[in-house]
Amino acid sequence: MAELVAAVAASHAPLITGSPESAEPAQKDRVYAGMAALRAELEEARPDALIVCSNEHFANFFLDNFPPYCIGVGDRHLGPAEDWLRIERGPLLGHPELGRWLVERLLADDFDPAFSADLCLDHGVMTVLHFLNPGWRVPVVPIVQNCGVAPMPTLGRCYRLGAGLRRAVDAWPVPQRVALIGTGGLSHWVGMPGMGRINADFDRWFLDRLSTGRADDVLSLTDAKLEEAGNGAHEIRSWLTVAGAVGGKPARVLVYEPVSAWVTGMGVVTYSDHLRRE
Amino acid sequence: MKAYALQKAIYDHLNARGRPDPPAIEPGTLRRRYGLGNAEIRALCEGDVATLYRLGVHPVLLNAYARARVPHDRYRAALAELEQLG
Repeated sequence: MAELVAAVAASHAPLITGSPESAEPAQKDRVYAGMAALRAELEEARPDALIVCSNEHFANFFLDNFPPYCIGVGDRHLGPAEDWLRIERGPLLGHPELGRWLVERLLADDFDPAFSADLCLDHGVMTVLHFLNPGWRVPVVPIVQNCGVAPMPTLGRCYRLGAGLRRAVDAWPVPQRVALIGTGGLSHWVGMPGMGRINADFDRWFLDRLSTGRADDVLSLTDAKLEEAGNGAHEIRSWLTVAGAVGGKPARVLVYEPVSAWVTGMGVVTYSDHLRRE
Repeated sequence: MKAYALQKAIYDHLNARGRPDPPAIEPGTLRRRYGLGNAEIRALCEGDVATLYRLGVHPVLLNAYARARVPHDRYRAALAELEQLG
């Protein structure tokens, strides 16, 4: 049977690779160190496949059809969509067997994922994998959630999706090691007045809830409340999906930096300690 | 409907991968394919972030467009000006 061997989450921001030098050097170094620590964890976990849960930024879907979440089932994924990230355009290896398994199991579990054999991956996936999957060596199943265009799936639904993903991985009758990576926010304002502002109080509250096993406190936030941390804060949905996959156990926070130059609160957390003990 | 067409023009332009005839950001194409008017066409062609925002372009889509076509300093300045105006 398959095994979940790592579960981590990290903020994504296009400027982390597109303009790293714009950040204050000490901040940049601390964020990069956090990403390096995650990479070391993943190398130790030796995953055969990565499930990367990010969000849609209009790189695939438009207002004529905007699914709450879509699972990439292709054998290749094109990316990055942006040509200014300073990341060489791949294709990345996909994992169609795992992708289709996740779709089938989630449907059987009363979730309703869309699927696509032709997802284009943007900074949401590519910047984080640039650090965590150098050379694109490990096959990837991307999941893009709607974390930006209202109406969006509820925070609770995204958390429960994580639990559903975990059940699906645990039931996969193939002896493969699977890692789950969530990417998104924390607080940030995107494409609107306020861009560059960061709500560090919110970010620290959110990370405190994750690190003390109280993700439940977050699930009751309304979208309006969440937007006090910017329209980009909706992307914590991906973090909650990872939290749901580990049953809400406490995260270990590796780094938090409010990096205004990258217009994002940058956090890095891991749950892999729990998985090693299971 | 104008906001929808305006956003569709941006989306098609940014996601032209593999299409034989990707839509260009130029007045003839924007008028013919998307039925855009002068204000929308001017804002798109000039990368006028503030006007595109006021015309209802979704911020996430606007961000993708601005990052691809507008110098960073000009993009941030436009949003800062919008904030000052309230």
